[in-house]
Amino acid sequence: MLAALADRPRYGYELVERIAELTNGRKRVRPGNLYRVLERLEARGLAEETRSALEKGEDERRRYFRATAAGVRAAESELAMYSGVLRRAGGLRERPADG
Amino acid sequence: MKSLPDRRLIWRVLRRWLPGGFRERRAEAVLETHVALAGGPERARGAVFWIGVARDVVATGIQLRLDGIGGRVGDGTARPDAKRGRRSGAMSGWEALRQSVFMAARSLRRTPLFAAAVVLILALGISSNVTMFRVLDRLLLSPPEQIRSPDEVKRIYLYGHSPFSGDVTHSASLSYPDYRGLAGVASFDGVAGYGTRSLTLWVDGAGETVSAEFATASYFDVLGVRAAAGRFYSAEEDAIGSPVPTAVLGWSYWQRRFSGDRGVIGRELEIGRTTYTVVGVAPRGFTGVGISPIDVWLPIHVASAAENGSTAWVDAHGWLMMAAVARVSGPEPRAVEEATVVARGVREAGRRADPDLRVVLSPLIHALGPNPSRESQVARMLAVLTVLVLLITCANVGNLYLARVLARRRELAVQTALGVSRGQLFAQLLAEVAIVALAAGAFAWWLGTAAAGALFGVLLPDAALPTANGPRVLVLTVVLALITALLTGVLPALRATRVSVMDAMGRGTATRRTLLVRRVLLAFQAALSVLLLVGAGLFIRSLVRAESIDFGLDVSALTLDIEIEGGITFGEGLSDEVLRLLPIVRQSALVENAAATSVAPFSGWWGVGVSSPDGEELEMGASGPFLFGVTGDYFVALGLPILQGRPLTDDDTRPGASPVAVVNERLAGLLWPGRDAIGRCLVNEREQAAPVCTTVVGVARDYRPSITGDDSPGIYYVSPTHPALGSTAANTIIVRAREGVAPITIRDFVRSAAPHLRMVTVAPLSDRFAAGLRAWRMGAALLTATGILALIIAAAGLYSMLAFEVLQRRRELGIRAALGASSSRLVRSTIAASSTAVLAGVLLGLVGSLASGSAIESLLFRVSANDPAVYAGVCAVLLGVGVLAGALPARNVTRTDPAISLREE
Repeated sequence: MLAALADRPRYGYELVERIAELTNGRKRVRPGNLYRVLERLEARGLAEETRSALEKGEDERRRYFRATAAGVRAAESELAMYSGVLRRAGGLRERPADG
Repeated sequence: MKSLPDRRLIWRVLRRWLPGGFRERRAEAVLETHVALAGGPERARGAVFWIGVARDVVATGIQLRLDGIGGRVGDGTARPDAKRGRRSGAMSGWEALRQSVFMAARSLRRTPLFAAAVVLILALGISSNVTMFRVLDRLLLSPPEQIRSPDEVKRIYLYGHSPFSGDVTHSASLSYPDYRGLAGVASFDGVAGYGTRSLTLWVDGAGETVSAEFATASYFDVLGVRAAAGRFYSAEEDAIGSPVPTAVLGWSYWQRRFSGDRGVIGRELEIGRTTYTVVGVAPRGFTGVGISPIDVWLPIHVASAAENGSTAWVDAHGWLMMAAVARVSGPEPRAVEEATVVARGVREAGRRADPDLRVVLSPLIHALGPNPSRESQVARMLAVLTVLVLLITCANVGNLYLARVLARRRELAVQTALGVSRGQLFAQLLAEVAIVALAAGAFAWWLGTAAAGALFGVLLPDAALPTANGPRVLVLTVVLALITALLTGVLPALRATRVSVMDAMGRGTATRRTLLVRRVLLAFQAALSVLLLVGAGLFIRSLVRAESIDFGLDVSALTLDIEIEGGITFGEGLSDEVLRLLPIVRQSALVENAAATSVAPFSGWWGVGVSSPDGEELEMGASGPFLFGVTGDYFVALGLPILQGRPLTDDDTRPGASPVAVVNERLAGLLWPGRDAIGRCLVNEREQAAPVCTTVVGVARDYRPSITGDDSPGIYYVSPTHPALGSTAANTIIVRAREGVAPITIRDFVRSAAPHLRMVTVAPLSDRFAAGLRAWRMGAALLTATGILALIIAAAGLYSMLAFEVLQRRRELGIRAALGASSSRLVRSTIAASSTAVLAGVLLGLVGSLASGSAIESLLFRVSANDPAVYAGVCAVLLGVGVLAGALPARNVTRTDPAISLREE
């Protein structure tokens, strides 16, 4: 979620689509759940609602969210951790099984 | 962008599912996103779309509530969240309740089988109580229906010495002079007399036996009822000589026979010996002062005169007997005092003065009076026992829930660790039990309502089904369900709040303590089961004893009663008809032998004093002597042996035959103790003026006069032509049918052979005391049902307990099996503790039964409350069931594969 919000502010529908894109279509977040998680991120100061993205012609009812600085850091550290895991797991897979 | 369909009802309903704050902030955004994902407002419609939205909203709502309770699991910062915890602590009571119920429902949904089993067990427990309540309500709690301020209406009893036996009794039977005197008591607001009997009612040529109540005209006024249609009869219409006999129909009879047609008013109906004009219909549910349905009310004087074929008989006053009720709105002691003075005055005028005589007023509910029926006594005892069943049920379900708490202790420990307060856990568990108990209550209520008719048919066949206790039963069911929930849920819920992380790892001491609690509950169940089963055993034995009682004659012999023109079923005119019918019956191939008699056995006594010139003096009393007119074959047809001399034959009936008699052993012993009775002379009191000797030609064996009475009274049998019998010589034919011939076949034969008879009834003699067996039958049926119920519940409890223990100790058993412990040793060690608990419970139950035996001793029939056979049987049954319930889990122990059970851990 944070990763989907990291590059620019997005509203609900965009977020669902972006997450699907990031996960190669494997993960389609349900809107209810999406907003629930957004609330939690918001409560922890990792994401926030923003109106700065509101440009001319945009629907006023759209609610835009973006990652806070802390959120971006959290996303980066999580991603770093996961990519480390993936790297090491990849290494493991290549080692011959020794029982 | 077009406006969203956010005003649609479906959304307004759905969004309410989301918790308050989130709904305010995010609900519209959620819908908007759904619409965008669907491809715009035009496509955001139809069932598929809304089902998708609903699924999302429901799941999100659940998740949000879980977040509220369970902290922030899964975001990498799981820890007790103090701030959050306080906030949930400050939830409104309503919100907290909703949350508990929500969580409970969720937990039940996950284990539908468990929920169904618990609902079923509880429903059985609750419905047995609701059922019992219906019976008790009818017998003990609710006054008869439709009566205005029933508390003011009192039954009148006369306390004093029975003129017959000299015993002190509370007699409900008043003579007409008693009634007339009491009606003048100033402190009574009104007095009414009544009595019930069966009569034949004829509609369109078809006769039917109805339950008629003869009542004074004041009856309806004293009870304060209003006619549902038409009116009640007046005092003038209850006076002998009233030109038009009138009748009032019972509501249910009116519905059943006349389909509630108001045109029946003014119609003439032939009832018993005369024709009555229907003037009204009693209100629905009205059964007079009793609880049995009444089909028709008749004015007591008019109907008594008609039925006895003589107005002089009623005018003689001393003969018309009735029960009476009075309405007393003022102080009762004064009314009793005044009434006693009046009653003594009446008696002193007659010859039956009794210095101890006094009037006793008792509540309208018969069972609360001085002569409660055996049924009501049995019902009281059963009420206590059904409460035991409920306790067993609670113990059992409590036990199941304890097991469930243990099985879920990891989940509970995690919840505790995440900051869910103990109060919340407690509320959640209790809510779960309450939901189940209320579901069980609903089921029990439905079951009880659906089965009430059948139940009353079995338990209280004479009682009318109450029409007005629905709300009471409903309230009771709900209260019972809630009590059950409390009794069942508190212990497991408390246990749930004490789950610690150590527990979750299976090493806590609390787990062992819980097992101990469960074993105590198990023992308790076993003890209660023993109590119930011992009760059932004792009642079954009483019933068997009473049913197989040897009366000394063959109770399968049939009685054939007829009704002739004019509604005559007794006395003058009938005798000749019966004696004419007798040879026709005897010739039938259906019949082995038949005899006529003045009174069938168990159908009443006719006392006519006798003396013997060389015998002892006899006082007329409860022990006779009683007179029976019988034709030849009487003793054979009844299977009553002649011990000495000869029986009476048809030759003795011939005109001109010298008068002879057969006496029974008792009378022979009373008149000529230690001496031979044959050939002696009997003189009956009706012939004192010109004594004629009736010669004793035989001695018949005594027979048992009733189920409870042991001693036969003195009896002498003479032929129907004997002058002592007068006009009532032959009223009934005793028939011994050939093997396999049903009573109804004989009835049909008589109907076709003698079509001029108005009514023919054929029934086995045993029918005459079927009502006497009812209390034992009711006790045996209910106790057996509750006992078996308790046993099944207890067995299920034992099984679940053992199965659970085996499951819990899988790891330990696996290790021990791996270390070489034999399976028998493992089985022993697994089921030892629970078996000990069951044994302890059985012992406790036996001790309890022995201690409480005296309480039911008086309700039993020829069975000691400590009957060893019953106790042995119950022990055998319980141990057998215990072994069966233990066998399956034990087998699982022996099948434990150490490798598998260790790997599972």
